[in-house]
Amino acid sequence: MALMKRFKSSDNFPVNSEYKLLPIRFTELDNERVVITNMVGEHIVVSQDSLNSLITRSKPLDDSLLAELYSKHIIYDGVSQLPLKLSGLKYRTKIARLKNFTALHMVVTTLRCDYTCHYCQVSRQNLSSDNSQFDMTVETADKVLNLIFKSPAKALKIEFQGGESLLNFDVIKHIVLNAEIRAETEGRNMQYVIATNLSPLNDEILEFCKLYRIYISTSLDGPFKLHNRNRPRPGNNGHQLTVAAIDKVKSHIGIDHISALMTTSGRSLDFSKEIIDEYIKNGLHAIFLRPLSPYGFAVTKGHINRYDTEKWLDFFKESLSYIIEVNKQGYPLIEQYSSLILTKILTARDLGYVDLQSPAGAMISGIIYNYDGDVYASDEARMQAEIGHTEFRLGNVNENTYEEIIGNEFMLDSIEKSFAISSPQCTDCAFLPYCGSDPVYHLATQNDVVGNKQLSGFCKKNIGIFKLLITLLEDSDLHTKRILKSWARY
Amino acid sequence: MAHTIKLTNYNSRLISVTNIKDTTFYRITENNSFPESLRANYALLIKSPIKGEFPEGFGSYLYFESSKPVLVEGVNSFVLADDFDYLATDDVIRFTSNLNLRVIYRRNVSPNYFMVTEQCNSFCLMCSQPPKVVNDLHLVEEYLDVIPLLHRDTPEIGISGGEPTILGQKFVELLERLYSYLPRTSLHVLSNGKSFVDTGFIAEIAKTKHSDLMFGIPLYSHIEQRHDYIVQDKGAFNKTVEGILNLKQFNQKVELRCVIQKPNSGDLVNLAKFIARNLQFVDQVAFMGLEATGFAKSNIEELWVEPENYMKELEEAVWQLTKAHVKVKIFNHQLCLLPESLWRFSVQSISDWKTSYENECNICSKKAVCGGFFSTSDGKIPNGIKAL
Ligand code: SF4
Ligand code: SF4
Repeated sequence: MALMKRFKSSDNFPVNSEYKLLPIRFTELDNERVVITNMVGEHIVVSQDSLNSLITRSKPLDDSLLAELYSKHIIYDGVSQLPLKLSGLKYRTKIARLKNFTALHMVVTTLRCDYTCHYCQVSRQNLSSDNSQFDMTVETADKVLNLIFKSPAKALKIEFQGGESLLNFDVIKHIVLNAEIRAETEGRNMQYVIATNLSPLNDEILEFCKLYRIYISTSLDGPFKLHNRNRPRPGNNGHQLTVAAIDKVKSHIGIDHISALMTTSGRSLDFSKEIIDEYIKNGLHAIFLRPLSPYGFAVTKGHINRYDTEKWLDFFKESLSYIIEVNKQGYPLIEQYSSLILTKILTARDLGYVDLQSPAGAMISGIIYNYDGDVYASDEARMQAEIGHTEFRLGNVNENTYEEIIGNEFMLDSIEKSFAISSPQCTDCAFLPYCGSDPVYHLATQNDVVGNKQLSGFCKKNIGIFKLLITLLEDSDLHTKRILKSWARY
Repeated sequence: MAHTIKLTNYNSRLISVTNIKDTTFYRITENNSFPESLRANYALLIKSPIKGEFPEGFGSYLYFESSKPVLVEGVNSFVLADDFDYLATDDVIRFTSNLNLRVIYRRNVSPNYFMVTEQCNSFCLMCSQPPKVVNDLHLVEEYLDVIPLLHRDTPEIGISGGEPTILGQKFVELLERLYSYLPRTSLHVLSNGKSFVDTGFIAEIAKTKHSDLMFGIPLYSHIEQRHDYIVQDKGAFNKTVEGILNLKQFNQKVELRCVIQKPNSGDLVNLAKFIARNLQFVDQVAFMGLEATGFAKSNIEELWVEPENYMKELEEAVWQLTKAHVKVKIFNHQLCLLPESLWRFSVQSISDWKTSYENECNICSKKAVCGGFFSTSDGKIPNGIKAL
């Protein structure tokens, strides 16, 4: 028995095969398949054949594929406005953060450091240096605060960096206490992060961090041997100190208040499992697999050549598969770079990660104040300046107004050039909605803020990761898919 | 879907009636020393024989056989069948012109549903309340009249149809009146959402400034044509989704409702993804089991799907939405059919007077928290019912 006579059967509601394409891009995923994305990052993986039929209309597509293309807003019927409305809404959601402008303000409290890391990306000063020369002064800190509070963002995040930031704890205290007062009267939400190697940690600092709910971000490069070789410290006890301090932070401030970053050196590449195990041992639930960036000391000392992007991608892939394994065994561990990208792939949001923004995230997503009051568009730009490339120095808090700094000609020009949709190659790349442009990187490596993406390590690294993640989302077992999907942040 | 509590008193009998008009509503009281000045609008419910002096002046008197009816000349008096023994103080009743008793509102039931029209602009395959083409303005008029009699602490009123928004200005008037008399009562409107393509109409609704008003709007699939087929209206999907966007633009609360049936039972995960991506801002999503009544009963072969066959799909869909911070509820599903991971989403939703249980349920430890079955969904008991 079918439907009652008064009803129309489903044949009366066929999927419309007369479609129009919405703005899309496609890129080969592997030999057989392509990834298609639309402007807001919805994606679908189809065979080469289906892509041909879709574009040339040489063969009819089957209904289930058509339906999926419609519901992902890759095609539409050419008449109804709804797909355009929804796409517009999602586009606005993706770039909503732009209206807040700079929310992340990084403050370099000192250049002094007790470590002598080979790869240190900043021209550090050793401990014996004269404080007055390389520490931020209270006067400069006040001017920095003035600038931070000029930012239109309602939620402000201040991140203290170094050198070893805690060596100038007085200025951290000064900034936090004053920021609290201003936030109260101006109705802003504050969040503080201290990036530190944790060796100067003491009870006073712990108490203070606890009181103001401050987040601690530290460096953990892997097990004892690797960590201490990457990050030498007089006494060879860096690893021991770090691990002990991580525990203290957990018990005094809270387990959610500590995170660790690793920097990959050429040496690290053979130790993916050991590095990850070290994170697990320390009860950390997130790891950020970062490549070595081509800045500061890393470039001048030639470490960048120790391994190339290809090798790093292999390392990333191996690490990721071990991380997934660990999750399957019941220990939740997120890889943060994947999490940022999966959020872009699977949700309507964008977390605003500096390196993956178009227009560029430099200055817009974050801005950095050096110990001497110099303002840079990004942390990397500051490092560039240390080796003589001062293009992205936007001004100095002691000499320039907010308007002069934010209106810096070279910066504005770079931002204008940094729209990925107008960059050669990016404009045709399916991964554009997930990617970004990194003018500071490309100026450093190619002497051009846009850069030739064929030669770009940034592009190669990201394409590799995009393809890896999308392939995993397509081909892996259900459990793996769930784990990856659960990393997306809605 | 929704239900006016409409019971005819076959076994009840009229003892005496003088002044009952079609528009007469009574609020019930069991208090026979009620202030005399108010009595005319009240029906006195007499559950045990009156002792002492006869309480005069009530608009009507409701007896049961056991409460020893007293016949007083010139007074509206009824003897009710025993199945009316649920009636209680603050319920509201009405006598129709052919002297049937309608229970319009029950204080102890929530939500009370107002079926304000039987007309509809869709024709859904599984409609439990098949629409009619009639002029039935009197329905909403009746509710407009009755609103002042309802208890001020009424927690929730559901407004259903038909398609309530078809009433246009009358619908807005209904919301206004509800807000004036029952400002603390939550309102839940069941609508197919198509009328909300008209933002002017929403602006009128928004003007009522009701702070606790939610629209329950069906979305059956992420595939336009599938949704259109289920509601039997080409273009419905586009209108409904646009209506949802418009409602949210006016800061109205929206619940998406998806009745799971054979045509859409394989779409749940993709629907969830579509919602997470495009409509993440809705206030909640409800997945509902099929009630085999009305059209659903006639079309049952095309619509029935064993819940055990879509449980995996449902579980994944719920996970997807929860991950996207969308609140999910599951209605009309027996606990023994749901995987344990879904229990916390399950809501006991079948109105008590519609709930029934199977033999198996009598030995089940979860009976008290299980939704049970639609007594109206006759004969359609899903596979796999098993005491827990
Ligand atoms: S940088 Fe490379 S991966 Fe990124 S959008 Fe451009 S071409 Fe695509
Ligand atoms: S056996 Fe009956 S009461 Fe128990 S869970 Fe199943 S339907 Fe509910």
